[in-house]
Amino acid sequence: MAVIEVGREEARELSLRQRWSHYLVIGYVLVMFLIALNMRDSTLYATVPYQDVRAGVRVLYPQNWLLDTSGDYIFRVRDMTSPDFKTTILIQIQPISPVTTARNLLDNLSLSRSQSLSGYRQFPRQEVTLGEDIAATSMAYTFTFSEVDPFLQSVPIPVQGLDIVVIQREQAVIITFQASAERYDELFPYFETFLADLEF
Amino acid sequence: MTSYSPRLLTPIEEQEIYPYRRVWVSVAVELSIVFIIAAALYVATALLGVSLPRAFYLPFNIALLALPLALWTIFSLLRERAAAEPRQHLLGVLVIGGLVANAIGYPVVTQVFQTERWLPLANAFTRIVGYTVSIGAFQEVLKYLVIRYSIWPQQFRTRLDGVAYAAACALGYASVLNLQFLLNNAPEPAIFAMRVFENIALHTAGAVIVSFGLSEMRFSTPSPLILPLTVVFAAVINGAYIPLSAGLSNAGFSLEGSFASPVFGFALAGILVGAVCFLTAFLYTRSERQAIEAEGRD
Repeated sequence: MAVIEVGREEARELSLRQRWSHYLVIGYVLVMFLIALNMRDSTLYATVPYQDVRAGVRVLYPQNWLLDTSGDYIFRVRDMTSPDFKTTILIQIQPISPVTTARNLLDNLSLSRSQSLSGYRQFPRQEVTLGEDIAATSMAYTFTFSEVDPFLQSVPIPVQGLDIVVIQREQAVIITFQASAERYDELFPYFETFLADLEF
Repeated sequence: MTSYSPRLLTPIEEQEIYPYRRVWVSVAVELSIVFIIAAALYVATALLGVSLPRAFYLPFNIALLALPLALWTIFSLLRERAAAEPRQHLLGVLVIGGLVANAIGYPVVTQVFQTERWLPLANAFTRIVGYTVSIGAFQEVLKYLVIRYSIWPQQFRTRLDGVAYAAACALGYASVLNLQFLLNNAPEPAIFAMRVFENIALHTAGAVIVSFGLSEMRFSTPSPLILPLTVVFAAVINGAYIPLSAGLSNAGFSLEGSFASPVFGFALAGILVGAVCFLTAFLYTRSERQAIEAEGRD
């Protein structure tokens, strides 16, 4: 019995020219991919330097974020382009007594926030290390943010925050990150980059 | 007496039978019908004030999503089967194009490149370069890889086979983007129809350019750079269209008031795909003629 195979083409060997052409296309897309990622990162994570000699703080904060140093903090930057809650990075420095611990500071922060922020809830604290050898304590929390103007007719926005407390030379450095809970994971790399460049 | 005058009969000319489906006609007819329907919807809603009840948006949009696929089935797939020498695996290329778009193209564009986070606020030049190196290059190479690893070079019997397979792949790819747009938004049918046309036109334009490179590599012995150059050109067209279309469509600042005009982006897509197809058809014809002349010399 004869078997007739229909529709199968003979496999044709590619010429060197065809092969090189294909390699060049693959090379092209790899180069373009790397350029695109580099462009993305250099735009998204571009930073601007800021230095406060009096407080001894040197940071690189995200480009195009609004810098504010006029409050009861050393430094605050906010992403004013955020559609909901304005993503915020804030540094406070508080003088403390030799016996004050990070726990005391975080308890104070929690007490004051529970009175001023709606729906404030804190999560378990963790011991972390900043840079290579700076011991710190972190505390995550959430609250709901509502527009001050009631005529804006907006729905309260759940916000997630993270405090990092470092005790050094009888002063406590409190670094805070707050972002919309919905986009917290997406925005957290900004804070990680900020912490990596922070000097105090 | 009957006389017979000599009479000469013109011999019947033997008409050369073209055994393949005429691919440019199919592409032109399919794109034209989608364009006309989208334009008619825009005229009906924006100029004549006809409004469709909101409850009909979804079924109408689903019909618009299926329209290019139905037209392709009628004017390409069925006519291909009626041809003496039908092209094989056209449907397969369309399906693979769609699967690649859904599995790789769309997730990488939205989750890795995230162009909507960093490009819309950049200046015009950065936007064109950014879209070209990210979305443009990636999407065009994906479509190239679909054709390259599914049917090239075995199924390429004539130069224009490249156009037929490229159009099928582009339609599969664009249909997934249209579906994603529909799933993530609840657009008005006129707006969705224009988006459907824009996606199909843009991807067809890019794929047709790359198909020229593939055909040349299959039938001629050009420089190895010709194929990468066609991919680069397709990526530039893809990358330049996005900011240009947005610039034309978005409302500008004006003291007299302003409004978005998606029709300009839609018209740009029509002009772009027309120009690209015209140029590529010219290049195909030129290559074909050169090949015939070379054969004649041999």
